[in-house]
Amino acid sequence: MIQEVNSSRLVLLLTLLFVAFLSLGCWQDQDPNLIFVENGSILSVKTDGRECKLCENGIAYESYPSPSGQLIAVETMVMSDLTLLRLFKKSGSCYVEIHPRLPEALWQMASRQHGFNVEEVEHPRMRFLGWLGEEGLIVELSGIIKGRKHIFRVTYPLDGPGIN
Amino acid sequence: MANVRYSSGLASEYENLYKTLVADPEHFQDIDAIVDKILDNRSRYQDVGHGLGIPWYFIGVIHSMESGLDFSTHLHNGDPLTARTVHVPAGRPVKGSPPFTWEESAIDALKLRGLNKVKDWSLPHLLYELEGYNGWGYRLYHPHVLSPYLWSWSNHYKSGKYLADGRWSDTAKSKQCGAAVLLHRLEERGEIVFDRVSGPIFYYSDHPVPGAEKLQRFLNQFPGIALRVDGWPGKRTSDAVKRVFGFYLVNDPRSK
Repeated sequence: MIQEVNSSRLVLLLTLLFVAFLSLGCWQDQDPNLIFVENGSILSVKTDGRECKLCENGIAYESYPSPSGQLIAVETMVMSDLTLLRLFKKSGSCYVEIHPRLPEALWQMASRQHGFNVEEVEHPRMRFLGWLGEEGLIVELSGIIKGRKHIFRVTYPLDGPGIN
Repeated sequence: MANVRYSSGLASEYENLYKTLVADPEHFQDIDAIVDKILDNRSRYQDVGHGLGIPWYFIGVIHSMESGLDFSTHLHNGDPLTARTVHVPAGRPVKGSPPFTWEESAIDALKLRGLNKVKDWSLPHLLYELEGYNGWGYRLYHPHVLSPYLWSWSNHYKSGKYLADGRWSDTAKSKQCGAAVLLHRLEERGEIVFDRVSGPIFYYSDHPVPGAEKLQRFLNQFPGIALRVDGWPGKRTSDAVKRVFGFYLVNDPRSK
């Protein structure tokens, strides 16, 4: 009986260790040297011992470094009913914004593909889904158009726009 | 979080806008339908607000603005309560485990915005907090348009809004009822009462007083009253006040 209990505990312990290992593995996808700091409405990133400002005047942020840490996608809640995705690229020891018209490009791609006017979208939302290596990203757009909720998944190649 | 400081000037702007608010008649029924739903759930808003010191009607109008009064979604951002939020702010609530009750998540959202620390829930400060909850983009970058988050469906808003992609459009129009319009209707229906900042009080005086000309011009509109507009609220002005309102000016010796 005691042996059974001990072996159950061992299985539980091994399971927990496995889960912890997987979790650590996931975190290794992200650059371990990047630390994101939210100070009031300012988002900064600490890298190479230096703190660089990424965004300001946002209500809330979520940051997603690319596997190499060379790119950072930032979901920025600029209004409670408006979230925009911004993209930054490592430059020296800081990051600079690239593709400043990314949100516009993403919505235009979705509107062309699905035949709606961006002005019609109510309660728009934008969510980063993942990196395609260092070459692109996948984004989910959603909103209410003519009373119906729509969700669009857009693939954005960094060397030129495209849509799935 | 706020980038705009609350000031007496801002307070009086909110007061004046609210005082002069006229809802669009074509939306009367829609406004009442929203207000009915808010009132149906007043006790739920009270339960959330009670522990945080936030008025129930503030939470009710935020709920309308942020998630269309849907009790199956997070107040944070409209994500379903069956999981933590996935849209920004993601991973909320941090404590507890899904599915969350609407109340659990609402408390988390209001605390995250620091609204449990607000002590002043007077009308102007409440409107300030509402505008700040949505964000200061209109006031800071497009001050020619009053925020539709507050004033849509009223005489204070015609058009102008941010599009889904963050671009500004002067012609696009919000389709949502503004929070101030909802509060105004709640007050019209006698469900809430805001303490008003009282208007100027005029004192009996033996010399001219700034602003008293306005009072005299106002009194001159009544039949049988003809005052010299000299800004001196003395015996004759006080007589006129008595005739219109039934009492003399403050400090008039005859009022004792």
